[in-house]
Amino acid sequence: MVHMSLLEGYDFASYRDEAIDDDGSPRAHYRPVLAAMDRMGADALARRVELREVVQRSRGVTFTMRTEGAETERTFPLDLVPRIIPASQWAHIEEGLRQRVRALNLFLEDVYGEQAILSDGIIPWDMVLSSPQFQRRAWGIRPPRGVHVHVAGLDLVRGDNGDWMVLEDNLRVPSGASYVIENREVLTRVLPELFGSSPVRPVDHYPAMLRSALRSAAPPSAGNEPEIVLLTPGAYNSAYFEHTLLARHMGVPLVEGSDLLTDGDVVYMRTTRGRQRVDVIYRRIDDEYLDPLALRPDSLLGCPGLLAAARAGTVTIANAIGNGVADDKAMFAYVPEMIRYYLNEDPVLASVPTFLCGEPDQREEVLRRMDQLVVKPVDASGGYGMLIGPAADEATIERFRARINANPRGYIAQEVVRLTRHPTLIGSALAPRHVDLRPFVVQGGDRIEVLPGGLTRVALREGSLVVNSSQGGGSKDTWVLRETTPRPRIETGARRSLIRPLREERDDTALGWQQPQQQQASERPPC
Amino acid sequence: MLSRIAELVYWIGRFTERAEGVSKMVSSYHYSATQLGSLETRSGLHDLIAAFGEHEEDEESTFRSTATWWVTAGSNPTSVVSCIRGARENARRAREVLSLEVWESLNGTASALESLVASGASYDIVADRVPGYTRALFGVVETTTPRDEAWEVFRLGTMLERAAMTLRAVLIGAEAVERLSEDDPLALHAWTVTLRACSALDAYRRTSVAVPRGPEVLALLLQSATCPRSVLFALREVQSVVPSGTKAFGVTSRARKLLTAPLDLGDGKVPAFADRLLGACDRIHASVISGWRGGWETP
Repeated sequence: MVHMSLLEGYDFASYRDEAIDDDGSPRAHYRPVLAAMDRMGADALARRVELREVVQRSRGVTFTMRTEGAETERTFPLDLVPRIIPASQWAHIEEGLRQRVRALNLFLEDVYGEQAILSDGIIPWDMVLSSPQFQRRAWGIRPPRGVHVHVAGLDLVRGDNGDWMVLEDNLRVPSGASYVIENREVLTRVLPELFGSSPVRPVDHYPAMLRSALRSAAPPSAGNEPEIVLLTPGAYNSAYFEHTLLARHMGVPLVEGSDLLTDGDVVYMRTTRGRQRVDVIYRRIDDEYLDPLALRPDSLLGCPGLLAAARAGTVTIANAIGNGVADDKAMFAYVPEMIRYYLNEDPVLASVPTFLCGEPDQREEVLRRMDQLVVKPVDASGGYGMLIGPAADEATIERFRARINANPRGYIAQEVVRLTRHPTLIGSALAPRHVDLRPFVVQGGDRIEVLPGGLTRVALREGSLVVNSSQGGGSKDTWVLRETTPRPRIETGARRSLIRPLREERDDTALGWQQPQQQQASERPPC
Repeated sequence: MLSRIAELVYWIGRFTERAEGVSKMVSSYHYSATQLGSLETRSGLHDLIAAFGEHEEDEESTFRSTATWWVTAGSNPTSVVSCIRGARENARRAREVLSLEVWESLNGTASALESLVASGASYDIVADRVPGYTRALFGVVETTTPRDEAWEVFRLGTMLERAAMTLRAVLIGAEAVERLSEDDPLALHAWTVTLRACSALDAYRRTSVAVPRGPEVLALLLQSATCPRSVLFALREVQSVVPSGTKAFGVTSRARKLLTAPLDLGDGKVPAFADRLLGACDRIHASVISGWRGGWETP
């Protein structure tokens, strides 16, 4: 067993630990990083925590939080211990993610078109038609190249056996990719020592990946250089930092609803030189707010006429309208069937076992085992409104029981996954905290790409399973290790660099001012 | 460029330049009031009130209380602190057109300034510190921003604000010397303070060997084609980024003509002249904003 003072008293036995083996030794792929931190010692790490705060503040890595009616800007908590995923493990995850997104996209194409999966009885009609996320107004809109899911964020967890499982699909406006980029940027500045011995796959190409996918999603009328915009609800949205970062890195305008207008089913933006046509809208606002004419009439965030323009095929809305029907928490239970139906394959990644409260027999089991399950509303996000049975008191359980009975379709239940834990810097010592992972998948035409790693979210409160940043969660830089192949040795002795050394660029006049001073020095009388 | 973003960037330029301008004026008048022993009295107030207006809620205002209102008061929407906050907030909303370096510089400035104020630093310390921050920001903008529309809009805001600030300083200087003879030490002092308020004292020393006197100072601050603090210089920059054939272009052009003609400085005419040019600055501003919002007016 390897001894590290940083791990003294660390509880590695209660749950499976991502970094520490059953005998208390760091797992092989974590050894260099933990050893480097151990060498630094607690005091140096505490200083790095302060440096992290400074770096994050100066870069404005913040999210907006609403507390007691007021909105405050907070730095996104980043834990300094990176999460590490070996290359072979990642290859498996990546394969599973691609498969899942392909199937979900085919489902959306089907459900807003032919509806074969419903006719064939694989998914009950009622399941789709009763979903509040099924947008009837989007029926018949076929986005260019059949892509509905341009960006997906799938939440993965690991339990006691270490297998990766899907906990949730996010196909509407998944957020967090900017923190993946920023976490890496901040960690390289704050703890560069950690990177020395581990070859890590980069993540900063995500905006380019996304832009390329959006470009390929443009309608045929757009020509070779489609005008892409990112539509944000505005500066007070909790994910505004992400919107600005992505817009800036993609080099596209960040627009608000009031910047857009439609005329003759064509979308334009108001610029200093008049109207300019828009071809692709990467929207970061929810479906219902997109178009007050077709959806929520009181929405001030969207632009009247967007849906008609999308139907006319003059603009692509990414992600497509109505994707929520596929990431509805109740539909989650059917994803393995979708994969078999559309792809004729078995799922590569398992899903967390899920009970549908809308199904009488399953509801019965849920109501019987409330204290053992996690109950979630199907249309909520951010970890709000859910019940963690084993941690809830009887009164809370009763309240949820009543809600389920009143609206069975509105709830699902899942087996509690004993989420793995990960060493996390709490104060100046490492302590185990539960983690999940949200990888990001980008689809452009036939091409599906996965950003290596994704956003590891960590429940910073001891014992907590809630990883959402709005509820005390933080994040970690996530490293996917590269396969290491020995590099060919470069013989440098025989080659001379073409770059002229800086010192040769000085000329005599540049040195001129130094000479009298040197003379002065030499003329100084001996002491 | 989106019209909304253009306005945000324009105001980043104006707010930053304004924060610098107000800081320099307050520092300069503070320096003057300290020498004249009028910090705690109303007698030193004239310059400040003439420049920015009075703090109406302050019934027994002194130089110190008014200067504090104009520098560190968060409740004053045009104080130095509020200007920097405003610039930072605008930058937060227009980050996609700003370089990371510009954002970091502005964000760092805002945060340093908040800490300074929270530490209880007095208005003169804050006013002394701010120009260092803003110059650093202008340097970062200069060296990291592509010369595209965002740059032009930022430049427009900066230069229009600078022209207006210089005109305010000129107006105050001219009023201060109105009843003084040219050689009166107080007149020399007033012009030195004015040059300092515009960051033009060294430029003056390089172009004129004389002690600061009205005609030379006014020629430099109003008409110099080479001094970047002069009104003519600033308006030339404004004109270079305003679309030609528009009302804003026409107003700028006429203002420049006024400045290139020989100045008539006799009998209290300078304040009226400066005031007329300030009015032109206001019209340029209004015309630019309405141009971005709904189309450019022609003259």
